[in-house]
Amino acid sequence: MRQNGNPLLEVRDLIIRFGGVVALNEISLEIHEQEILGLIGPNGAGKTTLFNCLSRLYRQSSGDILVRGETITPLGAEDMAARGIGRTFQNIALFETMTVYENVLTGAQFAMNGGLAADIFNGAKVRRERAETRERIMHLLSLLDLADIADHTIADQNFAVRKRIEFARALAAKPSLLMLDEPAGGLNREEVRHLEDLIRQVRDEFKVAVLLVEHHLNLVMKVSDRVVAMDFGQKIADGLPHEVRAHPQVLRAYLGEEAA
Amino acid sequence: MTMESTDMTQALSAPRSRKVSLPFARLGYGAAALALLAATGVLEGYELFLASSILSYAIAAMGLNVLMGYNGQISLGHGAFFAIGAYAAAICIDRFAVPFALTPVIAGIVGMGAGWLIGKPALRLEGVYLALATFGLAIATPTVLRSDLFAEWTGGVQGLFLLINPAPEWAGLDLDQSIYLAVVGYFLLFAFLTLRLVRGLNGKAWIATRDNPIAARAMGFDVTRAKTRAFVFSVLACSVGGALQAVAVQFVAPDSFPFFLSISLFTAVVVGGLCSPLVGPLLGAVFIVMVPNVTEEIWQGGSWAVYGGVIIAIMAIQPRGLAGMLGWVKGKLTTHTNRKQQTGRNRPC
Ligand SMILES: Nc1ncnc2c1ncn2[C@@H]1O[C@H](COP(=O)(O)OP(=O)(O)O)[C@@H](O)[C@H]1O
Ligand SMILES: [Mg+2]
Repeated sequence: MRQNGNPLLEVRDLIIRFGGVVALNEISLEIHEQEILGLIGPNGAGKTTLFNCLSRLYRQSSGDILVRGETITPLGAEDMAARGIGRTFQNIALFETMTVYENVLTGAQFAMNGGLAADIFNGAKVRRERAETRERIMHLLSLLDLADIADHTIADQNFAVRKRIEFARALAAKPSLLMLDEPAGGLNREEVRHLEDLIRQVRDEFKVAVLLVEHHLNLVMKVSDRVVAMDFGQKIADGLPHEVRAHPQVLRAYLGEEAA
Repeated sequence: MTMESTDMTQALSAPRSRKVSLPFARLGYGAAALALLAATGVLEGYELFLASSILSYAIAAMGLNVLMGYNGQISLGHGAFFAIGAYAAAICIDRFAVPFALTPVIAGIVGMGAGWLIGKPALRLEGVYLALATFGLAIATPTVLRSDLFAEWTGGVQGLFLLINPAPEWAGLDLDQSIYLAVVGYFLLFAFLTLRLVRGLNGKAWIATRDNPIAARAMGFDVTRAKTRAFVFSVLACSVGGALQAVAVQFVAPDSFPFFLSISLFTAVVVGGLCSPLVGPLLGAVFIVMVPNVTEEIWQGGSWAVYGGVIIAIMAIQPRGLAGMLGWVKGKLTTHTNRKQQTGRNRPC
């Protein structure tokens, strides 16, 4: 697309085994700058495993992952925020005792001065940096309709709100690639429509690429520029949304044998 | 943005709480610091000694609270670092005639060195395993202190009597007052350090690591570094507290640092209230110093039963300890406080 040179993210022949289970079997894919890539597949297909590998929480058995042409294989999970890879978690992984604001702040902190001296002396430069970050976070909170509950704890929030907080926390890191693991899980129809607009808006405003894992096929087909389908750890289709939707193997994976 | 720019010191907490509480909090801290200093002229003799004792335990508890409350690691062995600090101070005074007010600095450096050496391997352990490993340290400490190997320095079983000089004459302070003032100085320093760290990004790193280590890593927190910093800070506070305690008592001996001391520090932190950065450790220190004396008066010979009963009662009534009770009372008295924040049972920090 708007690409010359290396793609934003390139996954090459990724294999992950858990004991006897091959969770990812020679997965290869590419994501370009500001592209929305939908990733679909039945439960257990390996989508979350791929996310965990991209965020370096899991290590692959073989294969390579490149960000703008450079491998991230040797890096740890704590390095990924600085590499521009942000994510949300399928089962919500917020910091339960922090407020909504503080949770979102944790997304931004990796780029801030968090040294002992910075905290203790709290000099003008540190204060300015922190005030600027606060302004940016308050903007994110309003964008995601969270400003009113900024100083409430997570414990009081329902599942849909928690998903939005995770979304905001991931965005606070100014990622180039935002990975969303089932963001529509637990949302009602209205909220799903809203999410659809939000994903596009976020892509345009923050210039991020989005890797969207979602069971809600309508949502994926509508917002994605391109869709990859997986089953049993393997890639079974890669193309434009309507192509993938009509792909025989995808139909079989989703609707069972009798439909094929 | 309407809430911006008047005060940027609290940029890491959400806007509302910052607006309401900051000026009051500042006044409160200032008044408390003045009261502590003014007490030099009011209290005398044994009272000053008791106050020095309480404040030096409070310093240790502040540090241990960072480790246990904010970072969620359990230690049953920080009495060992208290002992290391106490002996470092004692040897400084006994051997090198270091002015007593400077000994906590040296004790802190020695303690941090020991903490780093011990922390490196110990921090690979988590939860009950770390608790047991640190407990092993506490159990071994008195024997090491008693050993003939180091007796030339430590005074062996007899320990060391410390000859402490009061502040110079022009200051007009007697020995108890000099010691008390030095203790208050270190207490205020650690109160400041603890508050700044806990409210800063280090505090966020500690809480994030405790709440969800995987998400913490995914957000770019260096989990190992956060744990190490919490551990080393706790060790620093405990060794400084130990040094001040040795100065206040003017004596160190192996029997002053039984493994029960570690349990007492643990008790001070939990009974005081996990994650209440200052008030909790202070109340906890008052508790471990004063309550055993009081219960002894209530029931001679059965004082530990009363002490234990009181601990159980506090935990049953308010798991967030004495600071939690105080917060509850304050919440009842102030009408404008946000309900949500008061009732948040799941919010220890
Ligand atoms: N940490 C793990 N240990 C063992 N097996 C795992 C682990 N994570 C995922 N798996 C297995 O990998 C496969 C893919 O799971 P997952 O990536 O969660 O699927 P999806 O997100 O597509 O529903 C499943 O068979 C799952 O049981
Ligand atoms: Mg999944």
